[in-house]
Amino acid sequence: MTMFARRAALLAGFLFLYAPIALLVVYSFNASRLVTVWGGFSTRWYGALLANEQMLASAATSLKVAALSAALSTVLALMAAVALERFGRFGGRTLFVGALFAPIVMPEIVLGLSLLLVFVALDLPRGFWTVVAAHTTFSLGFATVAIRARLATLDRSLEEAAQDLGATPLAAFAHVAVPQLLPAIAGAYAMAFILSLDDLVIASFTSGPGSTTLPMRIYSQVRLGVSPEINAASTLLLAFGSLALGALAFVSWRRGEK
Amino acid sequence: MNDPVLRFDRVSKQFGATRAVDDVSLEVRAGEFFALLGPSGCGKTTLMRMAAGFETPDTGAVFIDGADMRATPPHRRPVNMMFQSYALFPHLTVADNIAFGLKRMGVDRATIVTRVAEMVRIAQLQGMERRKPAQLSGGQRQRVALARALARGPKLLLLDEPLGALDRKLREETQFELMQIQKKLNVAFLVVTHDQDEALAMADRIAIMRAGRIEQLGAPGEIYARPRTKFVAGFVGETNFFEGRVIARDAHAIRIETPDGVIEIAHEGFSGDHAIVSVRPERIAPGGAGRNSVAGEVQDVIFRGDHSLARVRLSSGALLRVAADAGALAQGARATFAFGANDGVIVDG
Amino acid sequence: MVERARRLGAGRRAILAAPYLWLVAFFLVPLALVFKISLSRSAIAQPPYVPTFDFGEGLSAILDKARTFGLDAYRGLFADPLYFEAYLTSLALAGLATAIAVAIAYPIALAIARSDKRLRPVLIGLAVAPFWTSFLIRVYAWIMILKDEGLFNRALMALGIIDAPLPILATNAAVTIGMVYSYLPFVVLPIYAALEAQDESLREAAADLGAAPLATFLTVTLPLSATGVVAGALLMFIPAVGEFVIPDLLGGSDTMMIGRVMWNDFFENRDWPAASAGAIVLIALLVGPIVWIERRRT
Repeated sequence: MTMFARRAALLAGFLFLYAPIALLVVYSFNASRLVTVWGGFSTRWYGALLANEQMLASAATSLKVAALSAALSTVLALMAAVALERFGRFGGRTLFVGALFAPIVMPEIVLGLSLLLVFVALDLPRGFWTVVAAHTTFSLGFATVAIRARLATLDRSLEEAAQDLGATPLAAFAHVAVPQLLPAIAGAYAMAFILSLDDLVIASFTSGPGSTTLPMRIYSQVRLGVSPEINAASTLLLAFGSLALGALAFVSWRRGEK
Repeated sequence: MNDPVLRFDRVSKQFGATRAVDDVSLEVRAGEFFALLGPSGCGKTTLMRMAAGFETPDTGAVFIDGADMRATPPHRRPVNMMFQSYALFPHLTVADNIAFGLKRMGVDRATIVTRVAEMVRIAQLQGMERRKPAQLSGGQRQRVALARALARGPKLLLLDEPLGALDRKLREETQFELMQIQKKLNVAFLVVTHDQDEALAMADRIAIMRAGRIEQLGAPGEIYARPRTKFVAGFVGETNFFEGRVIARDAHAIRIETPDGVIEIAHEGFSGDHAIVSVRPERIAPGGAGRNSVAGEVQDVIFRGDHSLARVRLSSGALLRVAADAGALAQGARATFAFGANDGVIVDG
Repeated sequence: MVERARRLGAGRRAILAAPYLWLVAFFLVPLALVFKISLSRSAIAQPPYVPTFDFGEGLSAILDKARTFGLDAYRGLFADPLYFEAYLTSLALAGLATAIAVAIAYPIALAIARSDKRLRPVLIGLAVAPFWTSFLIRVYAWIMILKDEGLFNRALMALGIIDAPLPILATNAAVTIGMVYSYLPFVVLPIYAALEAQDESLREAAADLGAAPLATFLTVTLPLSATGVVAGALLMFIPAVGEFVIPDLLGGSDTMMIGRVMWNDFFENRDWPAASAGAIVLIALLVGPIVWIERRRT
């Protein structure tokens, strides 16, 4: 690949990836109600957004669901990763692996539908907790992949050394493996958090009145057409995501420096 | 004397189709420097890991200080191990690495601090206490691993290829250090190594392993001078083999018909009618004097500093290795080489 | 030698039990229920179906009824041209979008893999970063761009290239663009990983043996990155087939992809057995090839 071809590919690729997002952000500061006609710079839609109580309530719901489901998912994923990496060929492993990773490739609509059927069959009232459970199931496979990849590269002799020096297997894992897994655990949490925050389809099936998530609220407005308020909401979400991503990148960079 | 610190009693271990360890019995005595020597895959590491508790023998038993270890997990065994990769905890400082095992013992802080300081001094790591493993040189890491393993005051230290990761020059210095520390602390060392020089230099006794079995056990001088098998003779030091039918014998010597002529070798009660003889290169001298003599053409000469090693093409086509003074042999020269009846050792095939 | 499955100790069993029980409760049982309901008849009730059998009745009773199973939902699936067309449209659009995405992703991945070693993590991070931002928002951005009075059409008209806006939004073209855009990071990443792992000396050896740059690419680089291409394509194709948001927001009322049809059956027609049968067929359609590929590989 020549230098010119390389630069052209990168430029075109990143332009394609980022131009739509950039346009979205730019037009969130548009004074005009018509989203795509520039009417001067203004922050009025951010003001309108902050006065939109429904939108704010949905954002709060989404953040709570994401924080909780990501925590649950990360804990379960750590256990699942340990089982897959360390327990050898236990009975029922194939079914376990299948159930764990199927949600990664399965269309979200199938998972959402199947969970709704169970909640209806059990006569469980749908709401906040059903969404948390659904998102935990959805992100569990992704989180497990993230933690397991790091766990597989850990030098087993480190834990053996800890045991040799008198630590029980559990203490050796806690003192030696967990500190090294921390970046992967943080990454798994962040991934589960984002997946939950981003999900529309599964939440639509599993939420109930009073637990409308932010993507559901945005979706119902987008269906009615573009609106500058949605641009503003999108921009805030993007800023939030970029900050989280930047922090994560910074932490891993700092660890790499040391 | 008292009980051995470590005793393997007829242990065997199978991995898939291979017998990694095959009916091995072995004792390591208190305070001795013991080496398990063998090529990679001979089962020496598996044997050592059985002592540490990371492998369980399929049959047989492991005793430490006379106690059966079969039901004791690694963290309750009174031995410690220095790992081949050192296995230093990357997230802990040098001091915290050394203190790790002491903290698991539940001793008080003051004792830990003094003990760590003592180990730092013994391993000559003063000033490095707050560093992380990544900030240390290879030699320093090796010393941290040693200090960490010794901190709990084990009666037996297991060392897996302790010098394997060091460069050549550092390796020799470290050999002396290890020996000094071992004698000073009076701890038994069990070293696993594939390097015969290392084993010969450091160990009080050596066990040579091959394909899961112990081929020979003895002091370094004894193993070098009186190898029992062809494998041991070839693995420990350089040697030449002469092989053939026994055509005559008396109480002290046998005569063997080899492709390069008849040779006469001293023996003690050898009764077979086919013999293999190992003769070390330094026991063969260019020139005439000696009961046995062979002739050939010098094919090449390797300069080794204090001496040279020549390879001589014999009339049978076999290559003879001869150690000689540097410059004494020239490439292409024809010469005779001689050795006495006591310069060869009869070995098993 | 094949290691035999073994029994785990109490501690290990406890560690495994937590995620295992979770998956049984929230994945395996729900999936079984979908299967059961797909065999039921639609009804105007809450829940809106009449079960054909009950798992509680025991195996013999279920087997008895198996002969008279309510396969209505499946028959409906095949009799109804809507479902059949939706499956075809989904496979075709997802396939087309995947092919385009691979064609775009490969040069990007190659350019990153051939960049300075210190720059690579930054560049691949930038290429994957959009995955971390809201999917819905990225799709929304394309509505803004593609609609009749959107930025794309206004730009073309301002440049005098067209007189009247091109109708792009609410067509299959918009759906394809949306899928390519949304899933591109998924495709770049595995291709990059495969290219980055390649030993540079392989290409040097090829050049040394007389291969021109293009020949080196075709005979060494490309074949060695095939696994990455397949992984990236699968990673995109499978979720794209069942996609709901993109066809719903960017497609026209006639863009009937299977995810959308199921959604409508479920929420609007309240035909749960039909939606369930649709889900079962979709799983078979997607899981079948994966199992087949896995089998062929081993």
